[in-house]
Amino acid sequence: MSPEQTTVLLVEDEALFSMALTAMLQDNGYRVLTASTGEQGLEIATGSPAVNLVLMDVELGPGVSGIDAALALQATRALPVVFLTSHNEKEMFDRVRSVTRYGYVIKNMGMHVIISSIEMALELFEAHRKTRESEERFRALSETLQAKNRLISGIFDTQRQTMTSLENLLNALPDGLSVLSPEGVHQKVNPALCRITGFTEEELIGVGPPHPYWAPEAYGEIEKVFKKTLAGSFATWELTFMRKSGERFPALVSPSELRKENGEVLHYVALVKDNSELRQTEEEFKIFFDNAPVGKSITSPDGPLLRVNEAFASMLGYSLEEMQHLSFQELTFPEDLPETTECIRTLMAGEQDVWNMEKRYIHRDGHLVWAHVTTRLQRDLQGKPLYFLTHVQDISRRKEAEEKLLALNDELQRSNHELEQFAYVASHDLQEPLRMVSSYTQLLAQRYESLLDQKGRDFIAFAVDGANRMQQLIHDLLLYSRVTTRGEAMAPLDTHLPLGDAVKNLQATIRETGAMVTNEELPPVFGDRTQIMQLFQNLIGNSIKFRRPGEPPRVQVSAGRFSRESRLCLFKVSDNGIGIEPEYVDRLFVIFQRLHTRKEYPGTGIGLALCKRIVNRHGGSIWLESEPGRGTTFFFTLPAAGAVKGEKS
Amino acid sequence: MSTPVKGDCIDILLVEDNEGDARLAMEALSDSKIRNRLYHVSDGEEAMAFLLRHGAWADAPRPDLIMLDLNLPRKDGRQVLAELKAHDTLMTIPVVILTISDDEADILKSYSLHANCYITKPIDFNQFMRIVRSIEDFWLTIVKLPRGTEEV
Repeated sequence: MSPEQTTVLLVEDEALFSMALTAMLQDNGYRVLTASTGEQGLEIATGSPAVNLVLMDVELGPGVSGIDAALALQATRALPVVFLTSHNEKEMFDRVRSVTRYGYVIKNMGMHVIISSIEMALELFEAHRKTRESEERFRALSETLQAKNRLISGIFDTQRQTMTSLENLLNALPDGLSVLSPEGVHQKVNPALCRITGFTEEELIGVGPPHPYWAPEAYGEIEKVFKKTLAGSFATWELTFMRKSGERFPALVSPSELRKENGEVLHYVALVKDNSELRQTEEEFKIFFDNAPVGKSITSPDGPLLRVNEAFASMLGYSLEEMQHLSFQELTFPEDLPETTECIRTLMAGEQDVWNMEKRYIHRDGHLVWAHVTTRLQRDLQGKPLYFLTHVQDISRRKEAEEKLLALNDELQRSNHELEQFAYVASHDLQEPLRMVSSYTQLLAQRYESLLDQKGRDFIAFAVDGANRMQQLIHDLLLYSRVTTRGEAMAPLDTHLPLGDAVKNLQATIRETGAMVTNEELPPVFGDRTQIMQLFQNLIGNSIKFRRPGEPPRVQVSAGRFSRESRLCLFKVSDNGIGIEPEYVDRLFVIFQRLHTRKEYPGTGIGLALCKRIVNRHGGSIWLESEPGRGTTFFFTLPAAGAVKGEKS
Repeated sequence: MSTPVKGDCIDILLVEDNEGDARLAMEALSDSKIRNRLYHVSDGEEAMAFLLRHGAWADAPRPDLIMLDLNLPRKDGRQVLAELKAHDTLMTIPVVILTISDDEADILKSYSLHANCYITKPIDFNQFMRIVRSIEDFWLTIVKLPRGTEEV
């Protein structure tokens, strides 16, 4: 560095010396800045980057000493400091040396010494700077190197880990794995292969073909596969392998190869799976499927039967072979195809897991076979539909029985209806001639009374009585048959109305016998008003008729719902009459059955049979409880008005 | 005191296939205070022939009252009633339906065909006699009827 480019900061409190030194430095080509105190020098040195060197007087009078100022300055920037001093004691040298490496000048040693000291200090400083720079570079370089080292050792770690993972993977693999040399010699085997074959790692490593686990009888086949593999043809083969114990087992073997970059084969890798368990499961499934006593099929979503069992084939009269060429569309009765299609759609859409239906198949000979069919859709792990698993149960016999039952039921209803019609017409037509018998007998009695004796008049009386009773029977029979043939439409009904009608019709008898008929609040029912009136009339009439001598009849009508939800109302008609012996109770509701002679209690014996018929027509039942000599309670049920209409009560 | 519509003799046409019932009706009317002639025909065809004075009935009188059964051979009583009530002059003759049927449908049908009244034959002999007499009494002595015309 030449003096022209060098700026010297002179910190000197002695003004005269400062001026002289400045002039001398300027004469030597230096630019000079001056400061008279340590503080001022510090300020200029830190604020002016141009300053290249500081000439610092050690004794600066009051304030900061030259040495402290230099220490403070060096803390902010690297600058060479040359001290000026008037002393030459050793103590002073030691002090100054601890602060600067750039030396000191005794003031009175002459100006040229000062100049030389400045030049030397600058050169020293430059040398220091260069050293520092190269140190910096070296440090940076070594840091980079260290980083690279770390990176490299990291890579080695990862590789080590990968190797360990691979090793673990091989050890954990449930299937056997061997790494073979291009010649087929075992280089590495995993524990599973040892477990499956029963040979130890030592027994296998280094051993070439034939391998100890090849079953001798299968050598030919295995060698063929081996050759194919060497020729570069890879597939999965089922081979017969042998355990160390000599036990044979089916093995699924999948060979593959590893090649170098130049295409040369490095290794063969063979995956060996013990297939015996799967084969057993398959075998069991086959037996379960093929020998099942009910029809089973596996059907492709688009129709073809992939597999069916014997039971299904024979149900439809086909052989297993023939069934393979048929689709469910061809086998299904056309009328039942829409439901079958709907089943497929629903299962494919995943709206339902299982579909149950009753459908008809077409037997090979053309007749229909009724079957109960349960189908589910099998999907793969991704949810893609694979095939339908169908379970087919022949219900032809049940259906046949059902149809027979229905036909029988129809027949029964028709015959019942005919019978009712017959009873109605018969009794209707019977009345006509009977009326003739009765009428002309009476006409005879009236017109020819004077010509007859007492005997003749008695005979006529018997004839008339017989005809009258016959008429009553026919009348009652007509009523009985009309319960179902001429019944009126049922409707919700205030039960007090038919009860009121019944009591009104019985008014004469009630008055005559001094009977008292009372009733509680009755629930509304769903029924035929006329018939329910008849029901009350017969029951109340019965109670009055079978009263105890000397006891005015008391009849109480009450009712209640079994429960809020019940669709039936229970009614009770209780009396204080003569009661009924338990042994007769069963005969009571049978038509024309009488428990008393006509002399004791007149009547045709149809009243209770009619009650039963009316209650039955309403879907109810009738029964009784009785204590002979105390009274009888008739119970019957009728549909509640709300229950049938479905309204809230 | 009522007066018979023509002269002192009343003509009644009884349409009844049951001979026994016809005879009973005759017996009942034979005791009547009112002088009457009872004409009996036993099927619907013959009834119409009588009323329209066809064939053997060319000289038949116009009846003052018709007692008509419903269930008749050949032409049904309901058909006879319909034809009669659709006829210009015959329609004014009172028709009493006297039948064994107490079927609501028959009753409704008869009145809608303008029957003048509907009576179910009572089963009891004495009641039957009483009813036949009261029919005659009511329709021929109590009820005022338009004058019959001889033109048919």
